[in-house]
Amino acid sequence: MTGGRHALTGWVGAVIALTVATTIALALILAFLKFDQRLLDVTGDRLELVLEEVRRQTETGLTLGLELAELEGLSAALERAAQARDVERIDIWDTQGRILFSTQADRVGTHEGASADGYVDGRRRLENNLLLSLPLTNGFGQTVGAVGVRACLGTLQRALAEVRGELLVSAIPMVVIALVLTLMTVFLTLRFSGALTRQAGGVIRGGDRPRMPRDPLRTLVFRLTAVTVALLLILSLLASWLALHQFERVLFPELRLKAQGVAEVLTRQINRALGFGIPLAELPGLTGVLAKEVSAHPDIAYIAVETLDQKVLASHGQRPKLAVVTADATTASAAGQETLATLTAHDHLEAWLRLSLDPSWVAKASTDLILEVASVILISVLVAFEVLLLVVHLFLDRASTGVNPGTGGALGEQGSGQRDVHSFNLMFLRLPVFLFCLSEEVTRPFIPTHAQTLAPTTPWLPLDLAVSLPITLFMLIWAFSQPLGAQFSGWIGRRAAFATAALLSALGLILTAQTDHLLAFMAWRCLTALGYGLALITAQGLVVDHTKGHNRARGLALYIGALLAAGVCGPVAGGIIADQASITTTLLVGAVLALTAAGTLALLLPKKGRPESRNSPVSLVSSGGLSSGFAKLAMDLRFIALMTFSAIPAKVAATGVLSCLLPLLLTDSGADKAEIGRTQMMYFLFFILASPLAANLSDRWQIRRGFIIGGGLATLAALLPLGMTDQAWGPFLAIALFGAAQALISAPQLSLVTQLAAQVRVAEITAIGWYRLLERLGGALGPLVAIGLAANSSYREAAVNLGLVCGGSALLFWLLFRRVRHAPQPLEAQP
Amino acid sequence: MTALTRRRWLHWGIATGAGLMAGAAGAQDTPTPSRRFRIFMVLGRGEGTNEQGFKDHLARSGLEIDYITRNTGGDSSLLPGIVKEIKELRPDLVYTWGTPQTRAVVGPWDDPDPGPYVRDLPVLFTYVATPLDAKIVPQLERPGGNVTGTIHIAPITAQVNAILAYRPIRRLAMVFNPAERNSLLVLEELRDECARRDLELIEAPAPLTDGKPDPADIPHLIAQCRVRGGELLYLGPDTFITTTHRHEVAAAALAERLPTFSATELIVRSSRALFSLSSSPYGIGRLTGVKALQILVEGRAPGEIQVETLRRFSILINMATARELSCYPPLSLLNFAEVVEV
Repeated sequence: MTGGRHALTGWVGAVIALTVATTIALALILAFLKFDQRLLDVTGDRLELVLEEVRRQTETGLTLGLELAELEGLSAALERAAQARDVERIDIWDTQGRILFSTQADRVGTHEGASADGYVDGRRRLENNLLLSLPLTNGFGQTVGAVGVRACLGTLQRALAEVRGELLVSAIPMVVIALVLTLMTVFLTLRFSGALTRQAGGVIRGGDRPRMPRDPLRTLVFRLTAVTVALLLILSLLASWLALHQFERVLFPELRLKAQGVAEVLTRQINRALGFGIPLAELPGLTGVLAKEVSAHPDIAYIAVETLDQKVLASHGQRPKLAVVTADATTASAAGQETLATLTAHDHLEAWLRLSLDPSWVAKASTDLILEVASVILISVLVAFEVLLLVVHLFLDRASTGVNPGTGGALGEQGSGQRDVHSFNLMFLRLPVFLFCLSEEVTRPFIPTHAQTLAPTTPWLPLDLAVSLPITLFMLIWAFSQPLGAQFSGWIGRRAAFATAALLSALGLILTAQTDHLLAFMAWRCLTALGYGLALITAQGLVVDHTKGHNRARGLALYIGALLAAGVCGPVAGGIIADQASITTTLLVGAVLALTAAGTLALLLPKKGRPESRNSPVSLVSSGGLSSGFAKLAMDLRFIALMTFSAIPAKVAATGVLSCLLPLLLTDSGADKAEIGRTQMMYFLFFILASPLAANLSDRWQIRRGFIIGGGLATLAALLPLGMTDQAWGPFLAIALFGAAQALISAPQLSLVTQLAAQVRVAEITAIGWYRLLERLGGALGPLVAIGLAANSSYREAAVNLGLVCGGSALLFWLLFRRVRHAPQPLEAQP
Repeated sequence: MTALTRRRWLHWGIATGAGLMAGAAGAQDTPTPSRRFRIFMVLGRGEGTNEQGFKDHLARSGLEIDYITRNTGGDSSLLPGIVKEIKELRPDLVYTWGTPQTRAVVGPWDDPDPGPYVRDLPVLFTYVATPLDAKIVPQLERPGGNVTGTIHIAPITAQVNAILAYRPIRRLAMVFNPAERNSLLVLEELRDECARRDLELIEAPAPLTDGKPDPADIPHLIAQCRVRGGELLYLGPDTFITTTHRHEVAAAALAERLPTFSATELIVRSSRALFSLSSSPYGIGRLTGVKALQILVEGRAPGEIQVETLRRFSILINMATARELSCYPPLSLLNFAEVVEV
């Protein structure tokens, strides 16, 4: 067993080391991309000051009624403005794109303006250039042209390349140290967990099942995961700090340059006033102007006008304690985090203008980075957990049997003593299911907003429908693919069915990535849904094949666990990829994940597996035929009440809010896709945290109806923050609570369905089949209802209204439903 | 003040200068018909910057135009003869400056008798402060009939915004000639605006003798405004106050150390009123020119062309007055203001 343990150490060490190294690399790449963007923002802000000044001067002339072409004096103004660092040229063109003024004389009169240079309204980065443009309007309110600044980012790129090089130099030894540290830690962990591995080995070898309070394998994997988390936290923090430190060196000079730009704008204004003979002490509105600049530039903490004897005449903000520049010279200066500019009247020094940078701005601006690194850590840990579970089981499987993987025994608990070579360790199902669900979950943050951008390709379709229909169709296809898919996978075999599903799904995702037409987008989403539905029902089929009544619930729980883990990882990973690369890339990553899932299952599933169960994982047909089972259920008022006032409204709210309204409302408030993904992640995270507690308590206290009613009202309470505050934490809190509220309902609903099935003498599987179909139809209805509600109000109000529907339905359910007894069942969280 | 001053100011603002017409070539974007047009101009105080802007705009479009100009010089008894002449000459467009001239040419829109008025030729008015109240048009968006035009004063809300931005006050005084219809219409609007903002409006109408105000009363009227607690004097588009006797009004206000705001810029530019928020006359002229092209070149009916004013207004500050009163403009206003030293 010693050799085996070394092999285990090697495998486990390799997985954890790979996870740690990948996470650190990802953290560094993310940090680099974030800071690159931040640096570009600061440079853009600085250049915008130049652009604004040119626009102000131009529009002043236009207000007098002059034509754009008549503002001859602009040439000199452009020349002056173009002296700012990095500015390559400034052009002013008319509505036909003809350049009227330019700092490059040979461009005047040509049509090389907006279209040739690739200007768009606002900012645009084109390779090594930053393009900024603003429209110009005359006194009649007509747009008469635009002004554009083209900046060369060469200096910045060089500085960034330097930082990148330094980061790489620091990162390589760090990753090596991390790898060594990881292997050592894993070795020590396994050494001190020797008893656990031996116990686990004993289990696998087929001895009597030891009476242990906990599964030794899970304990081992949890322990290893804890080690991974600790390593990741320490090393990622170190990597982020390293990146922050490196970037500050580039960022601060750029921030100082921008502060000087702001100082120039202010001194020009104040000096003009002084030039008119207005005494500085009597100049009204000085504080207001300073305050406006401080609030417009979050990197500036303090601006003040000081007299020559350093008395503060006007100021706004908090002066940082580290400020160092003293007004002992007669010229402007900048050092550390302060900029000092001179205020003069007719070349006579009158006062000082002091600007202080916010020393903690870089750290404050890094909140986003910290959240993203934390998300990457969470994803890495969950992925590592899934892989570790597989590796440990695989290892122990091999160690105990010496045969092919996957033939250990369902749930790793072959305690019968009679080894069944056809059995399949259901732990091996987790990773493929996890990867497959991940392939779809990565698309969650952007489907409705992407549909919104494609909407102009179908002008005849109302925008509301264009946004909601792709999700609705996906849910519908998924719902109907379940009963049909169950039969299909039983017919061609689970392995072939899963492979078919993965191919369909991957093809759907690849085609979705290529399309720029809404109708094609919807068609390919339907294809993806077909594959998704087939894969999930096949996976459930495998659970049913390889479990019996006593351990089926545990088998299904394994499957649900993988689903939920994908729900946590997918949206945030998809959001980050979509932000940093593109939506197309995210969809292609999804396709690769789906194919990887199929490949993994093909490797792990024994070729001659156990003859598949005749029991389908889902059936809408009872012994009396299709109509008989449903007729019995449909005549039971309690079943109707449960479906109408709990199952369907809950799913309407779940898909309506989580998949449809949330991405739309967050995009409206300026959130990026990573932020949307992070918020969606909260739903699954809190569902995972709350559901075991809810299931246990509802069983223990025998109050399922109470939980269902409470969950409905809790859904209403959870969604209220969306309507009450516009703050960024509002959706975060609401979705977390929403996940917890939905967890309250899920298990008790299923228990009630099984209990009702027994009471009305319908097969449990038939009742659950109808329950799932109906609630999924509710899910399909969700986006339509949500967008319908939003059409007459706002996305936020629509979400609160969906909460009201859930709360109101819960009360009606309470009125209609009579108390029934229960039986515990696994739950499903998929909205 | 002529466009030359504007150009000089503009060149001060943007460093260097060149002629207004420089660079005009090739900037037209409307097709040019080959025929010559005749425009009949009815003016009240001769050709000014407004007309210069109008003519410049049409010249830039490449149209060949013959202008027939008649100036009343404030004598409204000449107007019936001018209307008769228009009817005989039947020009392509009639351009009218100011409310009295426009009213005389087009009459109240609800007067069913078209006899004394021009109702079958396109009429384009300018420098009319309140065309709705003056019954020149029934509505601004689609004025209907044969009339459209431009308004030269900023909306009252924008004017009061500018006053409060310069100086937060509680009591606003207005001195006006009650014999001028324009002034009474503006007074009505100002009453509503002040009530809405909880400002007290001190009204000081000039006493009328034989229906006419006496310039000798001006110093006393303004002193009374001061005594009654007025913190700032509002001067509307009132010919008696801000054009004919602008020097006396500005001097009296200065003597009482009362800051003055005007809805037109002449009294700031050439007398010693403190500041104004108004349209650039040259810009208004150009905007009127845009509408003339819509009628002459595009063949649009005047009744379908919106009556409007500029979207941006000019703040003009007389810094000499500001210094004398120690009443300085806030920096936010000064940034957008044209400054004169008179």
